[in-house]
Amino acid sequence: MSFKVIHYINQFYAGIGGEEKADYQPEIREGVVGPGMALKGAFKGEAEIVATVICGDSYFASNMDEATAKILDMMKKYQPDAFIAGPAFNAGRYGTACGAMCAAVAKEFNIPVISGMYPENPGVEMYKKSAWIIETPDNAVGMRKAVPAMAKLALKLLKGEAIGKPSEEGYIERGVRKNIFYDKLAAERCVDMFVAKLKGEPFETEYKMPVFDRVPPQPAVKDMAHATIALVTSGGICPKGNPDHIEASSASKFGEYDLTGVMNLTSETHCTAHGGYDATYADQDADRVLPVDVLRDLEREGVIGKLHNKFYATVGNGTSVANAKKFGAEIVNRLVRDGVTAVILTST
Amino acid sequence: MKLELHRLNVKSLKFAEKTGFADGVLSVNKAELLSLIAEDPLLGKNLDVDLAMPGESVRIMPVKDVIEPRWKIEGKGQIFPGLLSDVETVGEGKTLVLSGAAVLTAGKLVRFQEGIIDMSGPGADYTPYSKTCNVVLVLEPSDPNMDKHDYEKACRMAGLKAAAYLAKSCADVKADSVEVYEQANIREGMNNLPGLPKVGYLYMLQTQGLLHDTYLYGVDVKKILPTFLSPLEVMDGAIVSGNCVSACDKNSTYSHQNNPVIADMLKRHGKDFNFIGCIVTNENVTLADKRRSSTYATKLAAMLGLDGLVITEEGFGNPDADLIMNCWKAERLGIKTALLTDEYAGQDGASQSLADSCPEGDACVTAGNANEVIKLPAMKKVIGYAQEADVIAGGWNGSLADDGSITVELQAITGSTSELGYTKLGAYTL
Amino acid sequence: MLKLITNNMNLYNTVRNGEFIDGSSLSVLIRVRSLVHLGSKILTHPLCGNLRPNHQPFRSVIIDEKSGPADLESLSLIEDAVRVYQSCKLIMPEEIDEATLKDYAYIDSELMKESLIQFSLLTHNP
Repeated sequence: MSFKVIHYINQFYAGIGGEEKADYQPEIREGVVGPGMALKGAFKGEAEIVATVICGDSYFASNMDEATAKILDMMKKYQPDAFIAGPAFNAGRYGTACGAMCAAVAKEFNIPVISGMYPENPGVEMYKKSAWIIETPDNAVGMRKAVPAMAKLALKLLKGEAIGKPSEEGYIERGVRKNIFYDKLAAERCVDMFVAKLKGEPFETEYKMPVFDRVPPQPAVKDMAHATIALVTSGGICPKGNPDHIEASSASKFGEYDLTGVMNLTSETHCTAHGGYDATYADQDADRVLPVDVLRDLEREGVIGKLHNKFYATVGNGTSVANAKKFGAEIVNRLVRDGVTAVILTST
Repeated sequence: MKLELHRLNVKSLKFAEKTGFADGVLSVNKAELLSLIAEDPLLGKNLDVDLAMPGESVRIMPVKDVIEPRWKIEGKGQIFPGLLSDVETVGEGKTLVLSGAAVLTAGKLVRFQEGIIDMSGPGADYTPYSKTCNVVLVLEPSDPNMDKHDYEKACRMAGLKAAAYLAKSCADVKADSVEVYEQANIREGMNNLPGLPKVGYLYMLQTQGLLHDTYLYGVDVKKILPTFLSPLEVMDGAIVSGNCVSACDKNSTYSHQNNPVIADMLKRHGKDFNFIGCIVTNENVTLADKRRSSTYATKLAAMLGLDGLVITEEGFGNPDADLIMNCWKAERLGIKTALLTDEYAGQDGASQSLADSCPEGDACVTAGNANEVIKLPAMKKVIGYAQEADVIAGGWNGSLADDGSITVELQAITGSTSELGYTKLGAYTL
Repeated sequence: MLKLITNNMNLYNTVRNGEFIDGSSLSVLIRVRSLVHLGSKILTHPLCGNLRPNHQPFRSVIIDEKSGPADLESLSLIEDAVRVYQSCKLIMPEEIDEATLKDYAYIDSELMKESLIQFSLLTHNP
């Protein structure tokens, strides 16, 4: 008897269409669709793709709970033994959808869940603890390598075999610690490592201490009464209508908006683009995330010199660290250029 | 300094008329041993001695300490100085060792304490003490309202007395094997082996209070400044455990006597490095103490001109702070470090393993995640008190099932994640 | 001013200057964190004892109560301690019996005793 697998892909890989079809509603088809063909080949008859779930990336992103529930329901009658999503490569929304579905399926069916992504895909950071994610290149050229690795890992999990280290199996480190019996006593391993370190030979630590990105606090602003203060947020505040189309998650850009003459943000003028929190209160009064009103008060009271006439905003939800760093560097350049003294950063 | 360990290989135990050793069998005169430990007025009337052999369907709990029977047959001092014998320096002469045998102390002290040892089944794989032939002392206080310090001490002393008694009773038997250890004094040690890096062992000992204490020559280690010690002194019982809470990573007296880090460093002395000696330090509660001890211990290492230190932790949580301070303070003095610890990464392994960290801690060996859950099937016989599983550290309400099986974290198994590295367990990141 | 923050009534009754927290050990840590925010310095490690949070219903921390800028070492210690507690789902063992609870309180007192003596906070033995 071969294992029953359900495969999840987006509208693009199903051949339905690109961005214009991204609001495609979830659907389940019997058998193999698109890249499932390659998966099927890699299973060599040991597992069978009984059904393929197709869902548009935008639809999933904006209707996450509903889409998830619907898909789980569709899957029930197939009684799957494993779930494979993607590979999503570096596609942010697709990766996030694959990750979210893997997490939901693992919870509902308690079966192995596997995906494939490029390490910088935001789906990795969000879901690596809930799913096995095979590391792939950043585009579909990597399909030929990704699929066999995903199939191999899936079969191992299905057969209950021991899973090796990330470097051996090709998955992205999940950050989950697992006990193992080694051939040597821990004391001997420690002295081995000690000798290697003394001799300057390579060694691999058994526990990587977390290294935090620490930012040294800057000296305090001495003369607040003459300082120009800017507001920057990852809470997604933007002029109503989100003119730059900053994504609700996995933002690929930030926006720069004028505050000249703006004394107060209102539901008429501003809203949030953020998709990761309940937007009701930010939409009612965006000052709650980006406190323009309070800073105008301070300006009038002479506590600060003035509020900078531009603010910067992006969406922190699922945005990769690499992108966030890039945005930060660019925003700082502009603030320095404009002679800003200090910045208040607000999150959500 | 020269110490010979005369080993008798114990393969089995039996009760007999006379305590002694022949053909791999350690015979124990139960009445004599019982009357010896009953001499202590702090211990009650219902004392018992039981035997447990590897492979038997036996569970022992709650275990307080494990001690290897040893007795000095030649040389200065006697085993367990400052507690059982005088305070004379040990580590020289000849010491008889009943290899393969162990004395276990079991009994209730406070309710959520001490560990579990299974002699067979899945739990046995995790504890080194399922492979020893165990003489188990089941203890109780003479007064149920006795001060807990007094009762703890009585339990500790009973174990030491029994271990010494067993080995002493075999003192006239010719050893199965003899191991010779030599340790040069500092002046010679420094000049020996030019060209090899000079290294030391920073030996951290748990010292937070009752059930969290360790003794050096009978002195409560929380009251010492870090000090220098020969590895041979440790083999004669200079360090004795007085702690047992979260049994997985508390160093039993047995694991001090047989410290595998010291054993391996002595083995590699002269080949990979020049092992100068041990620096003993504590893990106290106050931050000033932590800072003082870590500064003082690393200062000693620097004064000795050491190039490297192996550092072992004992316990978890706030001792992580001591470990990390010792690590970065040594590294910043130009002393390379390798660390030995264990992890508390949660039952799912997804939480952060240590409560503290530093970038200098780049060479770290771990004895495993103590929160991993294991199901221990019922055993035919339980020595001690099985109902303690519910309240033992690492257990929870409902740990003990009606069928006698116990579901616990590895934390509850004695020595399972020994930070002296006495097991083969480790962990990796999925 | 030196002060003991604790949810252990036994211990609270023995000190010169204490603040009793009627709550879980996490509440103690959170109260300490607030005081650190206001400038107090932590003198004993907030994770003393070697039991998981769910096995340590009592927590006691000695601080030097001050106001002013936050002491960064204290802040990092207390935040790490709170994180350890929050990562543990079971804070308080359910249905804990009196005898066990007494033992927990006893051990907590024992672990703190040495430090309380060192800082001259103890009026009599717990």
